[in-house]
Amino acid sequence: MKGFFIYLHMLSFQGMTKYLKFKGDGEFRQILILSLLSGKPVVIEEIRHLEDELGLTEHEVSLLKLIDELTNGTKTKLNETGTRLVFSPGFIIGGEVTHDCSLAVPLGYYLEVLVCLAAFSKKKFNITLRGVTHGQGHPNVDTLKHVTLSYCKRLGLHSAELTINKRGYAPGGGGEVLFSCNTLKVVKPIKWLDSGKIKRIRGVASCSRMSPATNPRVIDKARGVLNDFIPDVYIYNEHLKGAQSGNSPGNSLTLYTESTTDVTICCDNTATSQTLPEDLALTTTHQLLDAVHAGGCVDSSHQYLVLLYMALTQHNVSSVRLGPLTPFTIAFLRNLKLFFGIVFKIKVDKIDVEEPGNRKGLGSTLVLSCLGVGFENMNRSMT
Amino acid sequence: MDIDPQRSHKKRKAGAKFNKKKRRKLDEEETPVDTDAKKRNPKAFSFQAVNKTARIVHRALDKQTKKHHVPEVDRTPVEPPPTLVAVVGPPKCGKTTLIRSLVKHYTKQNVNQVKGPLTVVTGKNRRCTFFECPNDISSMIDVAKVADLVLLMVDANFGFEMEIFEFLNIAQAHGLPRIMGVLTHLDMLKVGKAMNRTKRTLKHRFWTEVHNGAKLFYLSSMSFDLYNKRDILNLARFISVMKFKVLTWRATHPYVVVDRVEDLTDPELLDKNKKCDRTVGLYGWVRGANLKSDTSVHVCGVGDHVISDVSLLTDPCPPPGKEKSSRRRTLNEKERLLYGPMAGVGGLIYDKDAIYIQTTDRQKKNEGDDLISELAQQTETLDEKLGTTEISIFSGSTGRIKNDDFSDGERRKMIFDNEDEEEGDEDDDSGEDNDEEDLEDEMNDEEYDGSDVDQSGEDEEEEPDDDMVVGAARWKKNIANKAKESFIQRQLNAKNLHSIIYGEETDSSGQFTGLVAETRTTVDCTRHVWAGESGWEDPGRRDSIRDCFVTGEWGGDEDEGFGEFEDLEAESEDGEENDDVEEETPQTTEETTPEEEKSKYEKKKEKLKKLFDTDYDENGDESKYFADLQEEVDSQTRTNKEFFADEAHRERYEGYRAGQYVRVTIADMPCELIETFDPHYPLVVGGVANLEHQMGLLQTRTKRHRWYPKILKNQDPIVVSLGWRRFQTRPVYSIQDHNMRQRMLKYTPEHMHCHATFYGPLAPPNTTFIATQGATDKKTSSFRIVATGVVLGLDKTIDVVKKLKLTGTPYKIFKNTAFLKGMFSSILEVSKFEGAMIKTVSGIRGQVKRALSAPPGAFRASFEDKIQISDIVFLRCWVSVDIPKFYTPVINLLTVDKTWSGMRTVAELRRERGETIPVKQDSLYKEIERQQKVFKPLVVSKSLQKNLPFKTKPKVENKRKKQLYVTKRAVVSEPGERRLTTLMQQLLTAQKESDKKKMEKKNKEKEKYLAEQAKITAKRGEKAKERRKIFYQKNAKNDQAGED
Repeated sequence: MKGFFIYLHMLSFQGMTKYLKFKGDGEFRQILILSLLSGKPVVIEEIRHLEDELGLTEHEVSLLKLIDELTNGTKTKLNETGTRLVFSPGFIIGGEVTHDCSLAVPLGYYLEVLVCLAAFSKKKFNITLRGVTHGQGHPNVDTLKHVTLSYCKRLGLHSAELTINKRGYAPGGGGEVLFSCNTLKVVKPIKWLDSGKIKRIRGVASCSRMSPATNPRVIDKARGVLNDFIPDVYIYNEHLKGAQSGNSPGNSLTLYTESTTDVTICCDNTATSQTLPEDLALTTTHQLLDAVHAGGCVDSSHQYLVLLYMALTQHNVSSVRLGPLTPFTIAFLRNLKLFFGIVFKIKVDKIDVEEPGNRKGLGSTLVLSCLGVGFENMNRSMT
Repeated sequence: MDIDPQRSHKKRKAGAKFNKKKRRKLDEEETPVDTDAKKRNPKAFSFQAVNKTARIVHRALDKQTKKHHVPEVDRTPVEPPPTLVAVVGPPKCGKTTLIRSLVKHYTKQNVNQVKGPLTVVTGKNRRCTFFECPNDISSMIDVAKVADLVLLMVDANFGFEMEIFEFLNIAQAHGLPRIMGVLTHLDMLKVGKAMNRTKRTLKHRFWTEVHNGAKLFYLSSMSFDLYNKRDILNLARFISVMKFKVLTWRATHPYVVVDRVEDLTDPELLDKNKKCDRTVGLYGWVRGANLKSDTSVHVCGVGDHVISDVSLLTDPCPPPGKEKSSRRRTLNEKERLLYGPMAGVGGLIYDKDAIYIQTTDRQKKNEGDDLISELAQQTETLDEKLGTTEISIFSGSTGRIKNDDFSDGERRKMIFDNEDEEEGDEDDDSGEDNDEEDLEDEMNDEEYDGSDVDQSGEDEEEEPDDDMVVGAARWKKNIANKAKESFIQRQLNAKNLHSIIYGEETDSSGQFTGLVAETRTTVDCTRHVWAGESGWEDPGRRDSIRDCFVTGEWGGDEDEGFGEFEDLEAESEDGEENDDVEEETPQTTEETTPEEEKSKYEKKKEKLKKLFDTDYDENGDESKYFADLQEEVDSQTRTNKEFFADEAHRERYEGYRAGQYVRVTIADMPCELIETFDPHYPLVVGGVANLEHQMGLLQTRTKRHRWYPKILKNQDPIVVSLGWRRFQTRPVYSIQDHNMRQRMLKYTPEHMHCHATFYGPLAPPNTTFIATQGATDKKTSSFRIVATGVVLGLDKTIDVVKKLKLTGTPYKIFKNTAFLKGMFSSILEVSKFEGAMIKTVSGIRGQVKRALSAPPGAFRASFEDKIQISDIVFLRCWVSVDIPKFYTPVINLLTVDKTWSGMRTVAELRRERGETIPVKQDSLYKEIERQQKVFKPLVVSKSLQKNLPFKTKPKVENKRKKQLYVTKRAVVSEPGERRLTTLMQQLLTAQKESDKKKMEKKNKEKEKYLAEQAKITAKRGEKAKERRKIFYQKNAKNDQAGED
C-alpha cells in the first residue's frame, strides 16, 4: 500500500521547538513513542531510501493512523516517496478506538506502542485492534497478555487488561483483541535487583484451523525438555474453532517462567507452514533457556518498557538488573538521552559461576540505574 | 491530740451485731472467695455501653489517622543554596536601608549601593541572599516566584499601600513563600496611645492577609543612616531560625537566581555586528530540582532559550560549617563572607577559566590580609585551578584572564583518563584467573583510550585483526556458540559500555564492530534471540543454569539474591561489614578476650532486639500500612541521596544539584539584555520541565480579582504569569452548563468563577496563576491584578461554544408539514441539520426533515401541530468559538526602561484616539409598533337569518332616521333661576382670579429665597474644597519625589 500518504497542514512552529532528526527505519516506533511522551517534534529521513520498497511500509502507516486516532493535534507529513516523515506530536487522548491494523505484522507491533502510551493519556484506553494476533517477528498476543501486562502491573498499571476475542494467524489475520488500561498521574520508582529463582513455567500452546492433535505434540515435547529443570510446568492447550479461529491456519507456543520474586522471562514462536510441532517446541524451549541463561530481572523483549518507566519517574533513583542489552534497547537508551536528556548508569555485576548455588548462566549481569526526569502526566485533567 | 482512753471504741463481745458479724465470717470461710476481681465481678469489667465505647475507639482511631500525612520523598539538598530573602515594599519605606543594616550586622561591612543579590554567610551552615525588589509589577512577580522569605516593608506612618496587597496576591498564586512584615518609620508617629493604635490596626490587617499570628516587626529608630542595632539583631535571629516550606513548583523545577552576568561573545563577532546575538554567562546557585546541562530554560523577562553549557564553579561564598576549623558557634571574622558581584562587593570570583580579584570596597589596611587569608582558605581549589589556568591579578575593578590552551573538553578528558586507570587497576586485582582475558581487557583498554583521545584510526583498525587471528586459533570448536557467548561477554565485560551506548565515536573502536554493526542496523523489533543454534543437549550447559530454578542449589546464604541486592545498594556499608568479618575470623581462631566476647554478646542482643522490634511493629502496630508507606518513602529518600554520591560523573546522571554554584551559558541571547542590563531587576533562569516547552490551549478556572474595578471582556488581552513565564494572551471566557457544555461569556461574572481558555505554553494541571492588565508601569491608582486562577487541563483543541439562532418562514403549509425557507442557503447546509429541532415563536415544536430542490436552502419540516403562514420558525444551535492563537512573552528586561507594552485592548485604543463606541443601528432597541387588528364584521346571509331561531338571530338595530323626544326638546328656565346662575358664575370667576394672584406672589418669594440659598452653598463648597486641598497637600505622600 505504497500509494497511501498522509497530507496534513503543518503549522509553523515557535522558534523554541526544534525538530530532532533521525535517519532510517530501525527506530521508527521508539521515536514515535518518545516524541509523543516528550512532546518534541521529529523528522525521520532516509526511510528505506535505497531499497526497492521505498519509504514507509503499510504497517508503519497503519501505526501512524492509529496514533492519529489516539491523539489530538498530531501532525504528520510524508513526502511523495514516503522516505521522509515529519511528525509533530499532539496530546494522547485515548478513549474508545477501533482500528483495523495492517496484516503485514502481528498486533504485538501496535500493542507494544500502546502499552508505552496508555499510562500517560487523558482518558482511559479502550482499544480494539483487528488483524494478525500471532505471527513472525513480534511477540504474539499471548505473550503480551501474560508477560507484558504482568510487567505493566508491576510498574503500577494495575488495571491493564488484554482480552483476546479472536485469534488470527498470519497471513489471513482475522484476530481481535481489546486492550484497556487506566491512566497514571506519576510513575513510581522501581528497584528490581533480585531475579530470584524460577518457581514455575507456564505456557500457552494455541492452534487454529488445524488438527487438534497439534497442541498435545507441542506440549509433550516442550515438557520433555523443561521437566529436566523443574517439575512445575503447565502449558495451556488453546484449540480454536469457528468464528474465533481467524482466517488462516497456524499454531504457536508461548512459554514464560515465573520466579520467586515475580520475575517473568518469556519466549514465543509461531510456526511457519513447514515447521513440525516438535520443532516449534524445541526452538521455543531452547530460546527460553537461552533467555534464562542471559539472566537479569527483565526479559530481553521488555527491557525498553522498564527503562522507559524508570526514566519517567519523579526525581527518584530506580535500578534494574538486566541481561545483555539488545540492539533495540541500546538504541532506546540513546533515544532516551536525546528526548529526555537522561543518562543511565550502567554497572557490570559479576558472579563466580563455578560455585554451586551460583550456577546462574552467564555469570554477569548489568545493573542500570537512573534518576527519573520528573515526568508527570500532563494530559490528565484536574477535575 | 490524744484520744481519750475512756471514749475509745469497744468491740462487741456479744449481742445481735456480734452474732451477725460472726455469722458472716463463718459464711466467708465456708465459701472460697475468688481472688480475681474480674472473675468475681465480671459485670464491672465488661462494656457498660457498647455504642459509646465503639464511638470512643472510633474517635481515637480517627485522631490517630488524622495525624498522618501522605509521606513524601524529602528532596532537600545536603548542602542547600543560600536562602533568598527578598525585601519588598513601596518606594521610600526603607528597603535599601534594611539590607544595608542586615549586611552590616552580618559582615561588619558597609555596602554603599544595593544592586543585585547580595549573599552573606549568616551561620555555620547557613547563607542568605538579600535582594531588593523593584516596584514594578513584573519584578514583583519574578521575585515572588523565587523568594524563600519575604520581608514586607510597610511605612507605618503612611499605612498599607497598594503594592503590599498586590505582592501578597502574587505570592499567593505562586506558592506563598514565608512572609514577615516589617514596620518602619515608627519614629514619625507620636509615642503613646496613637502609636499603639496604629500598630494594632496594621497588625490585624496584616494578619487577615497572611495568617493569624504572622510575625510583624517594628523598626523604630535610625542611627547613622542604619536601623537600630538591637532591632536588626532580633530580625536576624528570626531569619536564622526560619524554616521553609517545600513548594511544589520549585521542588520540580530547577532555577537560578542570577547574581552575575558576563558577556562571553567572541569580540570579533561584536566588532562586525554590535547587535549580534550574545553568548552570555549567567552565574548563580542552582535551586529547586537538579539542573541538567542540555535542557531548555525560560529566562524571566527575556524568553525561552536552550542552555548551551553548564559548568560547576567553586562556591564563592561557602558556609564554614564543613571545614570544622573552629568549634565555636559564632563565626569568626574570616568566615563572614559577603558576595555581591553586581554591587561590586566580595573577594575572589572564580570563573570557568579565569579568576577575578576585586580590590575595591575594601578597607585599605585589611586589603592584603584579606586577600591572603582568602587565598589560604581556597588552597585546594586553587591547586586544581592552577593546573589548568593562569592567574594574573589586576588591581582596580576586575580583569579577565583568558586561557585558550585549555578547552573544556580536554579538561574533562583528563579526569576520564584517571578513572580509566583506576578501573584498569581494579580489573587487575579482581580477575587474575585467566591471563588471556586480562590481555584482552588490556587491549580493550588501550583501544578505548585510543578512541577517546581521538588518535588516527589506523591503529585501531589493525588491532582487531590481531584479535581475530588469536580468536580463530583458540575457538575452533563450536564456533557459533562461542561467538554468541563472546558477543555477550564483550558486552558485559565492557566497562566502556557507557561509551558504546552513549558515545559518539563508537564506530572507530574496532573491537565492538559486531555490536556496532548490529546497532547501526537496528530492526524495529523488541525481541532479540541471542543465537540460532544452541547446545542445550549438552549436560554441562544445562548445569550452567541449574541454580536459576528453585530446584537448584540455594547457595551458602539463605537468600543469594538478597546478598547481591545489598551489595549494590550500599557498597560502602557492605564493604565495611565485609571488613569486619575478615577482621573477626582470624581473631576467633586465635583467642577471644572477654571484652570482645562482651561486644559480641551485645551485638547479638542488638540483633535480637531488632528482630523483635520488626516483629512487634508488624503484628502490634495498627498503622502498619502507614509505617510501610513511610518506610518505603524513607528508603527512597536514602537511595536518592546516596546512590550517586560517590560517582565520578555524578553530573552526567543527575545534573547539577541544588546548592552548587554554576555558570549557565546561553548562546543566543538578544543583545539588548547586555546593552540595557540593570542589576536592580531580578534575573531568573527557570528550568522548563517536560512538555512545558510545547504550546497548546490551557483551560483554566478564573476569577476576576475583587479589587479590580472592572469586569474583564472576552478576548481582551491580559498578561498571565504562569509557571516561570509571563506572557500576553487573549482568553476566551466561558461557563460550564449542566450538560458539560462550555458556553462563551462576553464578560467575566462579577463575583463568580468562570472558565478561561487561552493559548500559551503548557503548565501542569493544578498550577495557579495571576493575570495583570499589562506589564507597563503606568501610574494607576487602581489595583493592578485583574484575575487569579488555576489550570484545569490542557489540550490542542477545546470546544467553547456560543448560541446561534437561525430563523426561517413557512411558505407552504399542509396539515402538520410545512415548507420553510430563509433559514439556510443551500441543500448541503440543510442536510447538515437534518433531524434538528425547530420551534415556532408560539411554541409549536418540529423537526427538519429533508431539503427541497426549488428555492435553495428550503426544506420540509414537520410540526406537532399546524403552524400559520405568519409564524416565524427558529432553530437553536451552538457554534464553536475560535480561541485566538495569540501569545507574546513579556520581554521587559530587554527594554531600556524595563517596561513593556504589548497588545492593547480595543477600549484602550478607542480612548487613545478619542473614538466612540460604534453603534449598530440594527442592534438598537426600538419601540415596538403593533397595528390594531381590524376584524371584518360578521355577516350572516339573509336566507340563513330567516332559518335561524330567534335566540341566535343577529339583533342589530339600524340607525334611526328620526330623533327621539329627549334629544329634540327645548329647556326654558325661570328669570329668578337665570339670575341665580349668573351670580354664581361671577363669584367663581372672582375667586379664581384672586387665587391666581396670590400664587404668583408666593412663587416669586420662593425663587428669591432659593437663589439666596444657592449663593450660600456655593460659598461653603469653595471653602471646603480649599480646606481639603490644604489637607491632602499636607498629608499625601508624593510618590514622584520619593522615587527620585
